[in-house]
Amino acid sequence: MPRDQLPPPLTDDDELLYRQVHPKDFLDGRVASSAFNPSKEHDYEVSVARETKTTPEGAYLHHTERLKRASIGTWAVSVGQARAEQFWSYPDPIPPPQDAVPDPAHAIIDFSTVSSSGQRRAKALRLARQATDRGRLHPPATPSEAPRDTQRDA
Amino acid sequence: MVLAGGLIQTLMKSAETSEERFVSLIFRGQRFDASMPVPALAELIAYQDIVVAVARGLFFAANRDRSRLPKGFEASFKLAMRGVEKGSAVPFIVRVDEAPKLPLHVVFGERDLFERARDLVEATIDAVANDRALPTELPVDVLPRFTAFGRTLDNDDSIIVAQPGKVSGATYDKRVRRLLVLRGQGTYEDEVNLVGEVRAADKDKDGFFIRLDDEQKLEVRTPRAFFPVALRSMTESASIRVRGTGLFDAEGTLLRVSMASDVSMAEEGDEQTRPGCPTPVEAQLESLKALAPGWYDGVGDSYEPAKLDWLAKLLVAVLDGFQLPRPYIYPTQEGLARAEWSVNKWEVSSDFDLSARQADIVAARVDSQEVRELIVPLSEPGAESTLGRWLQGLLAHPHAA
Repeated sequence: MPRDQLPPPLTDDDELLYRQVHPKDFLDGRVASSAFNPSKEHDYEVSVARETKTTPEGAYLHHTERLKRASIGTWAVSVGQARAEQFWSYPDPIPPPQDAVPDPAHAIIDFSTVSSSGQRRAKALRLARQATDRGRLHPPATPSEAPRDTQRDA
Repeated sequence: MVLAGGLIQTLMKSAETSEERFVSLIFRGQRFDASMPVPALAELIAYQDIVVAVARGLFFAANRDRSRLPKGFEASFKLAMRGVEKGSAVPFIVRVDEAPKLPLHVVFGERDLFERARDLVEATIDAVANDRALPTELPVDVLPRFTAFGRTLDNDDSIIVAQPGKVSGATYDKRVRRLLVLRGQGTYEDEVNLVGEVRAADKDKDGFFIRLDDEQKLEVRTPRAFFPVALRSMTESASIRVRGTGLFDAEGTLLRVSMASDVSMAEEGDEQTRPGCPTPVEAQLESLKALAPGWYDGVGDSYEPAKLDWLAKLLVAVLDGFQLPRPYIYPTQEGLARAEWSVNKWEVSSDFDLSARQADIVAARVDSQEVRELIVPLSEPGAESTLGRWLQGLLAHPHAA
């Protein structure tokens, strides 16, 4: 989205932002930082779906069945967690009819304000941990998929 | 030299004569959020010891014709703790002058010798923390004294050593401590907490050999009081837990347990396992070989098996050599192999460029905005050690307490 066309950012810190995770970005219960580190090709924007507009299952089905993209499930960070990393999140609904797959729940986490690659990677690492800690929201996590890193502090 | 017990008493008593704030030591870490843990008082003793040693070295450097210190040199410098500031673990440290200051400042212009030593200690810590050369005026025989300073720190703890009344200064943590001690003597001591099985014991030497779960065999020196527990482990083939002081080499390898402070029968489930990803590195990289072009929603190239084999060899050597937890390894659309760790308060991500043979690492603390970065050209001599040591500083070794 062009920077000068951004709507007001999301302000409810508790609102969850659903993120679809590619199967190769998930291993033994841990979500890779790649899942939350957008590339230049994506304008440094992480595509997410808003909790107030859809469900974890709805976001998953939209991604896999309508967009025909791979996902191993729905994880989430909150607006507040993104903001703690100095990222604003913006509603970015994709309306009919100009797009083949409308998505009223679509939103973005804007990484473009951080110019340093290292800083973006660091912030993505923190968001990925928070998403991992929250656990998979859809399909429900099985015991074998639960985070099992034994070396973290209690 | 002020003895430890005497200093504790001095620390807690009110000064009778003139007092001036000498240094800010700000203890950072979760356990320091609301109070000053009693064991941390040992850090104040160690800090004072270092300042005195540095001052002594500065004196002799400026008075090369002298072989003895002026009478009352060390007694002229005493620190006391006047309390702990509210809201955090910041001991209020003052200098107590129960005897008149020696006229040592004559040698150094208007600067007091102990204040100059204080500044040099801070500069030394800052230099090591930021990978710079040590200050040239630092007496090198002081370096081993850093063994005692920072000994009670956990992996996530640090001490900010700052000018009196200041909140920013040099950051002293376990990594800085280890580097300082290594520069002085090539080995360093740290707390250890091990579980293993006693394989042999020698009552005459007050020691035994323990075999850890990773098959490493270590000598353990111990007070005789713990000998019966060690013998029981040996006869029953039962695991024991050993806590105490370990001696590590420059690579971070535990050489022996210099002295055990506690030896007890292990509890169920105490046996060590290598933490991190449960899938072996070789198996993780093998799965990357199976990726077909377009594996990521139509984009992403396949990997060259020989390059992944090279990475497997490198990673296994570094992980074993530095006792690091096993990473989670992911493919990337750009053809990198991304190894990540979630350990303690750190998230670490290392991008391995398999063609350029380079590691680009970012480490992010999860409870602050602290970020550390490192690029390691892996084809250069010593690259594996550089990579392993850096990761070890963040991820620690499983033997660390």
